[in-house]
Amino acid sequence: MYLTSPFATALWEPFQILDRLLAENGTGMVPGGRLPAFASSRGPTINVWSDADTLHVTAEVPGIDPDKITINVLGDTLTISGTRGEGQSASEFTRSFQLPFRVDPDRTTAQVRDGVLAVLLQRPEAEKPRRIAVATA
Amino acid sequence: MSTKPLIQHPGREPAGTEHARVRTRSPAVSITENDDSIILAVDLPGVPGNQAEVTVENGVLSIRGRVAPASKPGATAVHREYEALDFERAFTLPEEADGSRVSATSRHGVLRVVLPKRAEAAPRRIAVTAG
Repeated sequence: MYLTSPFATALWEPFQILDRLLAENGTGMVPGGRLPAFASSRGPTINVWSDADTLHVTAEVPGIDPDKITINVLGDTLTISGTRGEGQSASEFTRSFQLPFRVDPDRTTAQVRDGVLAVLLQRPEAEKPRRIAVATA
Repeated sequence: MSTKPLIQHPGREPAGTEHARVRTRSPAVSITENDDSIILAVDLPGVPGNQAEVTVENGVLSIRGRVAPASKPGATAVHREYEALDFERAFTLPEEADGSRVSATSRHGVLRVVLPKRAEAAPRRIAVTAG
């Protein structure tokens, strides 16, 4: 298997090897420290940017095959799910988010680049706020 | 299964480097070994392959990755769970690793660093002869 990414496999056994083979420089080896969020089996952490009619969602998914990531949009809910790892160690993850507004599934695009998922969502045309001209009597 | 945490806190500034003033985070690393090599898989999401930097100097392996800026013109951050800081992490190589033959490849935001073991460090089968 090419990818033994910690995120992709949620696999932490190799640390005993680290103890023996590689000493971390600087400020590593924090006794009683915490594992990063990626060690959990939950979905990836996300960032969201917004303007009036567009939402940009990014998530860090290193080592995950883009084909194994699924994006679902329903109303104002975005669901990111996928499979990490391979074979017996494969595990599923899923996360759902409520968005600030309903989005158009037909105009939703997603791409993965260098292990970062970027989802672009658009407010439906029919639901865009419209400026109404005020007529003078 | 040992889960001894060795992850330094994200954003801690490494001392004594030219990067000391830049906030970085420590990438997650998995390490495996076989008879010939020690292999590191380093999560560098957002780092294009050619922006990852692997150096060996004085027995220290350093890994740095510059995250491509995610520009969202005109948009405001409304929800933030991670900070897309550049990555930096360093390890002292063991004697058995040959620092002059390190190679690295990148795929899906994961940098794979292969540290070949020195020939004399590889296990050899010694024939036992009857005395």
